Amino acid sequence: MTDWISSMFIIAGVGFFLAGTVGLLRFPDVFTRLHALTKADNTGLGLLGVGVALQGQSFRLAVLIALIWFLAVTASSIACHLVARHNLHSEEGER
Amino acid sequence: MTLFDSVLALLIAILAWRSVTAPDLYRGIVLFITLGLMLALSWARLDAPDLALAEAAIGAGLLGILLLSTWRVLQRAAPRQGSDEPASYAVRWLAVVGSTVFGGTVAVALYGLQVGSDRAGAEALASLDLAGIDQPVTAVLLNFRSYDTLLEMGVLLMALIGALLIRSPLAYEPWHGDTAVESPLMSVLAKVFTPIVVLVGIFLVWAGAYGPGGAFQGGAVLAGAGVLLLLCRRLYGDADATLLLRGLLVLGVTAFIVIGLLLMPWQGAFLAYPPGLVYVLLVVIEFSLAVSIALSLLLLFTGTHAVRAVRS
Repeated sequence: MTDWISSMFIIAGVGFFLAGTVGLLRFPDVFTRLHALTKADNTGLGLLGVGVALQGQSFRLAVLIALIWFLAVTASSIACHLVARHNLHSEEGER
Repeated sequence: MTLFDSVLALLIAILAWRSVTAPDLYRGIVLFITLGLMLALSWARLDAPDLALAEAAIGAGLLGILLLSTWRVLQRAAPRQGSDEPASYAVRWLAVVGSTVFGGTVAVALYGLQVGSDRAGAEALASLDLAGIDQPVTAVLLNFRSYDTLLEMGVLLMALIGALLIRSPLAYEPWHGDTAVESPLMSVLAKVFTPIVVLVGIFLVWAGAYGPGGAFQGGAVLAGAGVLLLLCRRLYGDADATLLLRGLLVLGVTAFIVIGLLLMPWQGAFLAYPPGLVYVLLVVIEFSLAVSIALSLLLLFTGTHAVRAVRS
């Protein structure tokens, strides 16, 4: 049963990563690409983490994975914000 | 070899190829960083977590940021640095012949390599009891082959001195058009993230005594925390070094040599440690090495003699 639930989470996570990658490659400008990328980072990684934590069957492992997810989410949000901000400012500079 | 490993090996070869042949410098650097991460993954797949950590922290992380900051300085110096003209035929053929001979020699050497039970690795594992530390990699680096590690620290110090002499025109300076600093999120990065990164760095050094980790990995992570603070403008590169800072730079080498020399009369050999004290001594040496490594790598990034905290 746990295996099934964990597989569902991992498959959903991979789906998010796939969609994010397609978005990164296909979307027209920086902002929409960032939008696609952060969805993959945050939700995809979170779902993968839940799936792997269920496989691990250990509380310590689950907490560590949650911590990694939290750090990745914070770092990627800040990085995304900085890239978007830089792009916005350089576009204003060009006009 | 599973499907995953095959894909990984193929990806590494493609990334290496693309990072050399990339049309512009920036793309080459990004591909090179990705290559470093994939290499770290491959070390992890080969059950070498120490190397994986070192590759991720130094190869992909710090080397990547050094390349990027150099790229930025080059951009500022002259937007179209370097010519797009290919090198002359003679040079290109020389490169082809040289790489082919080198690659062929390595391939022949690897083909002739036989993994037997009488090799150094097996020997080290068998005599692990003598090392006084449970983690085989740390035992080899700091005890069985401590002389090599000492010389490596010397090399790092020399590299830093050389870089400081050459890199001064490329020194990292905050860019005036840089809007990132005004962002309110930068203080989150400095206040929330940096302490966690420092904690991870110290943990990695400490973990070297019983698990994957060690002075180089932990030192690189600590240097990463320093780079984060520099980018958030909490630290800045300064021209005058204090005596304390210079002392910390040579702390690793000094601790190594002093402990080695002090114990010589009792142990009869340089860098030989008494069995009862090995653990304590190695932890002391490991932390001194980590401090020196972190500071050296940070100064390689700033290209200055010192770093200082910004007073606000």
